[in-house]
Amino acid sequence: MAQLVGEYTVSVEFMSGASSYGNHQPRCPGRLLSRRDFLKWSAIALASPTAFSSGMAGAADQAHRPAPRAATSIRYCRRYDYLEVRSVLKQMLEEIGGLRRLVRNRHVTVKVNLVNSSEESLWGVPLWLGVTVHPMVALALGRLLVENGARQVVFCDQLPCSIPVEPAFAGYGFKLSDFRAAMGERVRFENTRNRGAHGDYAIVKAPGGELATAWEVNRTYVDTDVLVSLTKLKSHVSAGITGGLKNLFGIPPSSLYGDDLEEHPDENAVGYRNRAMHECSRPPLTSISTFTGKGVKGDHGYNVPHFIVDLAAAFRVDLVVIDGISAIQTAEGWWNGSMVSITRPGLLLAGRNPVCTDAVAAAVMGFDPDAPDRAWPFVNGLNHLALARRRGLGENRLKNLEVAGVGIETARFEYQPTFRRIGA
Amino acid sequence: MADGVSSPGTVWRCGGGDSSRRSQWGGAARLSPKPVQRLKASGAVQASVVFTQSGTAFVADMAGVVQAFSSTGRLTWRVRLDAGISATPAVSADDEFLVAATHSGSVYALETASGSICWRRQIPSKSDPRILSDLLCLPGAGLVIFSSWGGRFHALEVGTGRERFSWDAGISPKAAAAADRAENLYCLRARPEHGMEFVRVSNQGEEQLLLRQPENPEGARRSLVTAGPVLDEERGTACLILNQGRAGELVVCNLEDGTVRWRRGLPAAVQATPAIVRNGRLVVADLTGWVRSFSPEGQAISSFSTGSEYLLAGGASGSDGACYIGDPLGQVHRITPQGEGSLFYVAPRSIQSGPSFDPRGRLYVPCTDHRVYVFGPGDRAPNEPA
Repeated sequence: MAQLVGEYTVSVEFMSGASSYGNHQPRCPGRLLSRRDFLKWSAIALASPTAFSSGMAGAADQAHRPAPRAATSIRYCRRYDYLEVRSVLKQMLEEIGGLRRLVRNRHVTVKVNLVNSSEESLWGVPLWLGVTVHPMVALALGRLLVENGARQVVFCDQLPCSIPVEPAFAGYGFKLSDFRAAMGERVRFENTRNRGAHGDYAIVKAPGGELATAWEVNRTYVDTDVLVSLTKLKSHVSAGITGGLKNLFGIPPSSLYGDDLEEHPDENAVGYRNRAMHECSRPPLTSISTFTGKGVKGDHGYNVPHFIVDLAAAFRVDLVVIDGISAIQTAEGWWNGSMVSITRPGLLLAGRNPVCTDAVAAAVMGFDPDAPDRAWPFVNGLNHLALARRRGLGENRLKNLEVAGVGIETARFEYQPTFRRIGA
Repeated sequence: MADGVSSPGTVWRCGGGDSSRRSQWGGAARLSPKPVQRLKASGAVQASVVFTQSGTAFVADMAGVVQAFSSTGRLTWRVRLDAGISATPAVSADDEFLVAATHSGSVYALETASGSICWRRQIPSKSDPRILSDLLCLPGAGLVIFSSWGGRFHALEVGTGRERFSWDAGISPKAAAAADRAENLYCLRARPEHGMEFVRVSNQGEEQLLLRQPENPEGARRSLVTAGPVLDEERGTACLILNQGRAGELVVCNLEDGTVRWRRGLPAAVQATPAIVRNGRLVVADLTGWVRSFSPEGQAISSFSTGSEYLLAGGASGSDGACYIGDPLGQVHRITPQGEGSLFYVAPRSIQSGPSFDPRGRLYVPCTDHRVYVFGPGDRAPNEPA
């Protein structure tokens, strides 16, 4: 992804020894650091903070550069029927440049937007019809990735349970047998709530990081050639909308960032990341200090958008696919209770740049993706799409975006806006 | 329905047709499955269409635009309000005012003839004042009734917008209030530590608790209270949906004192307000995509799967007893009095609000594809393209 900005060139290293991928070593789409590199880099930054800031991706510099752009496709998809979803998705992916060049002979990691429980429902309606990515969209995408030559496809997210990965994913409707039938042996599931089967974590630099200068994560997100964000078209209380960018919030593992940690990292942790990444009431228990301390304690609307952008700077997404067939509006999860409601846009979206794709998604939901901070849909805080543009990650202004498929105006399906927090 | 309050008649002035919210139209309804008109909106239409006696149709959409169409489908005026609209507006009984409410918590009274704004009132709230419950006009008291996420039901004077009284609406209220012929108001609400409550409020604001169900184990804030009470004054009953977790319960109680006549457990929770069709039959659309009907005495009569994973809106019926229900796949189903369902029409996108009848007996189906589909006996309006 050459369009992403960042002036540090960091060579890819594999700290855990031999790769499990034979002679072909996957490359990291982000900026992987060894611990030694990171400490060296941090020391330079501390010694010369100004130089560090401007050298990484100074916001002022970026404001004058054109933000990267890529086309987004929107199409109708009425129901979660495998053949229908696959056919629509195939057409959309062709409209944004095709998959083959992106994935052929490559290792693909698909970060799926699942949530903190598979036990819940929306008054009996399964979570995948509102809150999480429907398995049929993942299945159709997986099949297309394989058809286009992907060598291996890993579907991953951190799931808050310590049971084996297969039943954990089955709780969200992802049955490995179905995926094997469509994709053969090239599919794998991974729960990234801790380091998993890997010997260690990866430390990934976040160029220009405002609240986080790096992330310490399960290696699944870096031992890959291609990173796909597979997410849901839904509202989000702190971020305004959920999309390809907000989905990255699930990458930092509970074992280092979780609410259920006490004084040390814990591979058994399953907690959410509220205290570290929403409240900023305590730093994560990473092996090195990675948070700048600039978060505002208790202000989710400030912290969450900044962390989203710091994640997007570190983990460069090559493809976003958004499941907008059936979703929830007003908020992001079952935990928001009767404030949320189910709605049915009947849409799929796909794009190569997450900022552009999310901007189009916001417009489809009836919002201005360049809206001022603390205005709908970003009513509780900052507009992370605008923040991402200023960091040089992508374009969020509609006039500069290319849209294929049915177009925004035809697709427009207004959501009830995110509710305003008391005091926001 | 001539006076807009709970009497079988001819004008569908609010969500559910009249203040009883039965979704029953008094005339005959023999419909052709071919749309005679397609009314173009500015956004997804998620509120039901309402009418004046002369047949002017009002379409309010999620882009915040309200439009008036003549009975021939001609656009007569168009007004953009401050935010999206999903609550079905209400027409006053004298046909002078259309009252609409938005996701910003603004209530507008518009002149039905011109769309001019007569008054606007912002509903106060500490957090989110959005208005999601269908509105209701009481002609005798001269009031318009609705709830907001400020947590109150409000009774405003239709002519001025001045507030007469308000009462507790519970947590994130969405369910509409209904009224009987004496203009007593009835509503459902979920209150923490109280549970689900069915209350009567006089048109002077005095409140009386009629029925209480213990709080859902998951708490009041996770209770789904979207289906408003539906009144059957001929039988002296109110029909309530009381959801508990993943299941629902259909409760029919006395209007007078809330005494339960019968209860039926439902296999799924229900979001849509039930319809009461000919002979008092109850039609319930649930969150697993099934439509079930019950006799006025509580016997299950029929069940029909729409093929949709869930249903968000209830149906509307004519005097022939057939009930029309739209689903999120865009399908409109026709369900006979015997409970047999058939596919009537397929729209391009989801249908998330109930259909309604105009004074000529034509069915208006709001769709999220920015259109309203109009079905009649087959006569094509002069300005409708072939």
